[in-house]
Amino acid sequence: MMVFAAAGQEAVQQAINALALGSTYALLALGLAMVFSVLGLVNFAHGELVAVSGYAMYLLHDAGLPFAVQVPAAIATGAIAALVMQRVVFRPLRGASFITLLISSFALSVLVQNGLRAIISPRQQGVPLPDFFNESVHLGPYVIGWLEIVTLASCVIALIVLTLFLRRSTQGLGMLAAAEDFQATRLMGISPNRVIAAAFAISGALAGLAAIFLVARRGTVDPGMGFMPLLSAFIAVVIGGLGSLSGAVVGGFVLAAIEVTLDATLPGSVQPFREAFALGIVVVILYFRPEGLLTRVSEAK
Amino acid sequence: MTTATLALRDVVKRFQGVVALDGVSLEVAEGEIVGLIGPNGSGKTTLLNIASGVNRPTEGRLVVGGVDATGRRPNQVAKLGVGRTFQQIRLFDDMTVHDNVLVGAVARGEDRDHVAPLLARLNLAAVADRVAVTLSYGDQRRVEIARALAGSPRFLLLDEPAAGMNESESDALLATIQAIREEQGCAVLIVDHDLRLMMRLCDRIHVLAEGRTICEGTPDKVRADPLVIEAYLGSAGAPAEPEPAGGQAS
Repeated sequence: MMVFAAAGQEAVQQAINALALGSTYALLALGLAMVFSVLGLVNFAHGELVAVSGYAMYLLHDAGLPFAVQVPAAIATGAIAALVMQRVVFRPLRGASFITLLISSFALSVLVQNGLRAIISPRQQGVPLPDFFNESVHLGPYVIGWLEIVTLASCVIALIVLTLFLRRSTQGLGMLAAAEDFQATRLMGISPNRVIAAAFAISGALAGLAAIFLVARRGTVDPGMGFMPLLSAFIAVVIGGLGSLSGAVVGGFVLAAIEVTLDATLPGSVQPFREAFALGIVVVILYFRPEGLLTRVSEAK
Repeated sequence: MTTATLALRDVVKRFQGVVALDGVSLEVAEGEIVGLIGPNGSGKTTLLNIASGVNRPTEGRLVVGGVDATGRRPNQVAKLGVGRTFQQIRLFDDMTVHDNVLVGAVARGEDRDHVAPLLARLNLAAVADRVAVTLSYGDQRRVEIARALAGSPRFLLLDEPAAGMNESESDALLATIQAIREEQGCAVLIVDHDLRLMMRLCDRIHVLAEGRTICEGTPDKVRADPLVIEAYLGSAGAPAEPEPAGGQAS
């Protein structure tokens, strides 16, 4: 009886961890998918948007400003940094090949990382967050961290707001349409520059929001902090189906579920190989659904 | 009348040395339905691509409503009042029929209320909330037309709108296009292989072969032209319909 109760409790807590982690991945994956769907670009500098947003929090904290200021600043920094990236790097490359864009985004990623190293420090910097995030809430038999609750709630709200924007507003509908068929929307009179700028701004804001929770979990920032989240987001996008916005969100949650489950179930001796198991499962998913979970199998037209 | 035309003047288009269009001039005036026919590979779709800004002409000019639009981008050409549909249907597959048409409206600053009458006009009211990709081929073609019309174009370019339609569907399409012309007064430039439809629908027909105009005029004139019969109607692989008889019967 006790064992069952403990196992059930454990499962619930793992599920909440998976949802919190998944929602962070979902934000990042959605940003990647959004830019990919309008520009055909997998932006490997997306992780650096997380990094610069994290550093914005660090600098503001250093200047003595409270968390309530750091949060909007992180989101705004992500959005602005994304707009600058698009204007300075990607816009001049409009029409360039997929490979050119890909390599350029890698170069940009390295450039930003080294910029942070040179200007601030190559070392980790502490960003203490409100104590509140270390506390837990007791709900019946469950102990749930505030960090997980706030992460999940914020990400879900962000996804709902974004969905409403995309489905209900005229600007959003244009974006959604452009994500499905960019060329067709241009032929209907929608300006590609506006759509592309909006896609970058949204992807940057989502990266900034994700950065807040990643920093909260780590308590530090460092120049390379965006790489692992980017990799996870990229895997999530591939799982969901490259170019599908809802697929990216689903992919984020699926990946997190895999990781958390492995974390909880793998014996200690094989834990170091957790990533290998996780990626192995991704390979199996893609073996059965090569175009991703949410991409329709292309019908013969 | 002089400015309300979409005109291609001496258009030449080469794709890496391959000549797709070789000095074609064509004009469509407001309220006019002009057909564009020709064997496969004669340059019909290239011509529509140039007229909508997708391709830039190698030589020659595109003039829309008196404005020189040569080399303008597709969204800028659309803003001059050019709407189009595609040979390969290009709907926003995951969006509803209503939203597909709504995007067409808002892209050109039209109102949301603009959508419902258009759906009714094209017989799509019943499927308005269906996701576009689930529709039949004929319905999808009509959604594309509704979406193009939602931007209130002055010039409507239709690329094979009757492809995949049966006879009664294409008859209904004919009536719809005529009604659109009456109601909106827009010019229509239509490419299609359904000659039965084209002969009855079009005021004028423009015949292309190998990138050149071989004949231009009323359906009767085109039907009787020996060059057209040789290049198109009479050649191997031409539509097997009893063409002139079908046309006269109407």
